[in-house]
Amino acid sequence: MGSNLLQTCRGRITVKIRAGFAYIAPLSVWMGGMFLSPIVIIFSFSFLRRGLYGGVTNQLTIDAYQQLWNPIYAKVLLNTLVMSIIATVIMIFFAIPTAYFMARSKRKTFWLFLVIIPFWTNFLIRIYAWIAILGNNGMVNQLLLRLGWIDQPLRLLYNPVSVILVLVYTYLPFAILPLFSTIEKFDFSLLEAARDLGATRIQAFRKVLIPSVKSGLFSAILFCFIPSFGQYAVPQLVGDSRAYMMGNIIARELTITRNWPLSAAISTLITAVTLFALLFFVNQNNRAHK
Amino acid sequence: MKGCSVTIKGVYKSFGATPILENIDLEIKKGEFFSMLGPSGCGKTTLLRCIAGFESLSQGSVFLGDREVTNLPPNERPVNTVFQNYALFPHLNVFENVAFPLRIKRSKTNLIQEKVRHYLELVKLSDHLNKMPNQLSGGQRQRVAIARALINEPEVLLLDEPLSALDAKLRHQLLVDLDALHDEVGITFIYVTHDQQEALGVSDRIAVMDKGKILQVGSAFEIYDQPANAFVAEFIGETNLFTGQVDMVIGSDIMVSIDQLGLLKITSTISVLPFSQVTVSLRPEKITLYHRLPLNTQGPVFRGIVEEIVYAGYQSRIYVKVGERLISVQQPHVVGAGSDHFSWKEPVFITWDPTSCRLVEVASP
Repeated sequence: MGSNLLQTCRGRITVKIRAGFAYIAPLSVWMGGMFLSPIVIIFSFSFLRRGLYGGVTNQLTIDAYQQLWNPIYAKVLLNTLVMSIIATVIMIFFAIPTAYFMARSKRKTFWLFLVIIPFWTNFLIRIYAWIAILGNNGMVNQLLLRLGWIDQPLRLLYNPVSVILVLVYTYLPFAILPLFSTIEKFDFSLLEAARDLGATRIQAFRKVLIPSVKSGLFSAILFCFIPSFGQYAVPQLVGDSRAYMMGNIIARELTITRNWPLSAAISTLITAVTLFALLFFVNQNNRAHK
Repeated sequence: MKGCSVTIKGVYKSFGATPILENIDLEIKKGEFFSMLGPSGCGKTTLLRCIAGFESLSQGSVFLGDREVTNLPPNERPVNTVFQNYALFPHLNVFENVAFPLRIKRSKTNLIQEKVRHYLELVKLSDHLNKMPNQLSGGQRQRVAIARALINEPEVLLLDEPLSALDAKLRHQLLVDLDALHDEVGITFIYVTHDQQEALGVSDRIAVMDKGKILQVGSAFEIYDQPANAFVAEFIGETNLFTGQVDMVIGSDIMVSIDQLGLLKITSTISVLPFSQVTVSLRPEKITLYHRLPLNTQGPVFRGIVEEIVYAGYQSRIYVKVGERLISVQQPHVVGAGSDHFSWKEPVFITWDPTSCRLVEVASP
């Protein structure tokens, strides 16, 4: 009798697990095929010998990684890290007060709408718009010339600052949205409690609001850092050699020098760095939630 | 003794065009357990927030002792608040919640350890140091909030309806604990509530508020026994209100003619002029109920019919219809006596002592 019951239970659990597999099977096939296979291809190409006119030959080698052992790549990697960290810090710096203001405003939907509007226009077109704003004949220079504040157009484009500026512009909504959604759920009376207990406005913000919205902050950092780190189009269009990022190196190795294994190796490196950052933050986040 | 008096002078507060507080003057003594009592929306919480520093005043000033604090931010005022929803920091455990004010002040670690343990012991929560707020019951959270508010050793502790989220039994227990705590720490407590029983039970003095004004300040006995006006009389406990005209004044005895009841003799503590319009308050427990016509009574006797009986264990509230009036009578249940049983629609007699009536509103002729 008892064992029968046990068997029935076991049977049910097996059925449940099987049903679970059935649910996730289409998704697994899709993610495996469309998402994982390119990564596998890139990873395996990085261990193959380069073809004479591009492509790869079927010979295993670690040539590509040996080529990576070149100070120039280390320099670009460092440059990319520094630029994307600066961009992320600036984004978070602006996103926290913006999200806070939006969450406390009575017209939340309106502000949310304004944040989302830029997504209606293609990303590349918006970068070109920045060229129209910052270029030598751009709106900013025209205005300053007309006001007589400058005699010659300022060189606002094609430097690391313009790259960071456009990166901030591009990914700022990705910082604002997760922060907004967590701050919106925050109990603002806690700030009053903190003030009551002796905290200044800034202390209340730092010791009560920020720890309470940590999960939103982590997602905001990830959503900003990862795409900035892998950026190609922004430094290509508004940057110069000083603003060279890993994405540009990959494109160059792939299309100009036609060294596919090397570009695959750099891609693998970027993926590894990103994955490391991701795991680090997820781990931090989990610890914060314990 | 630690603690400090609070003085509020001519305070006005309005949100936009709506006045919230009008001409509030109040003096709260050192070490007093002072309650602010009123229906929701009467401005009592706003007044508390003015003392805490969360609201800026439209007019007037607030003093703590001799020091004016009207324009000081909340973190610079020597007062702490126990919030209605407790406002515990969800990311900190019990210990860190209580330690928060000391961490802000950058106190030494061993001092923090010592003080947090002391105050958690005071509220009987020493066993829950490492629990997160969401692992605590409502009553425990409230204790943490009290310990956290006391650890800074404020001169005044403000309590904003701290028991309203708890069930009746726990509320009673915590009220007793709160009273004991007040005796132990000896600082001024300002307690905001809409529950008259809470206020009557523990306060040294009570301010009754309505529509942004203070109607009466006094001890629990004073506001119950000598209500300043009809609102206070009705809000504190239950009462019967009769309005009528003063026909005659003979010393301290006055005769008031009241619709349906005729001429009533009232022994008044205040002097009134003949032909004044007055409101008389008569508490249900001051009225005696008889099956048969009582003899040898001092006061007026009326004949009525039992209209409704509300049983409440140790007593019953009996509504007696006299003419068209419904008079509320409190009838205690005496153990072993069968005579206190009244039934629905039964003809009864009611009477009271003329000194039990109170004039609560007087309009001079």
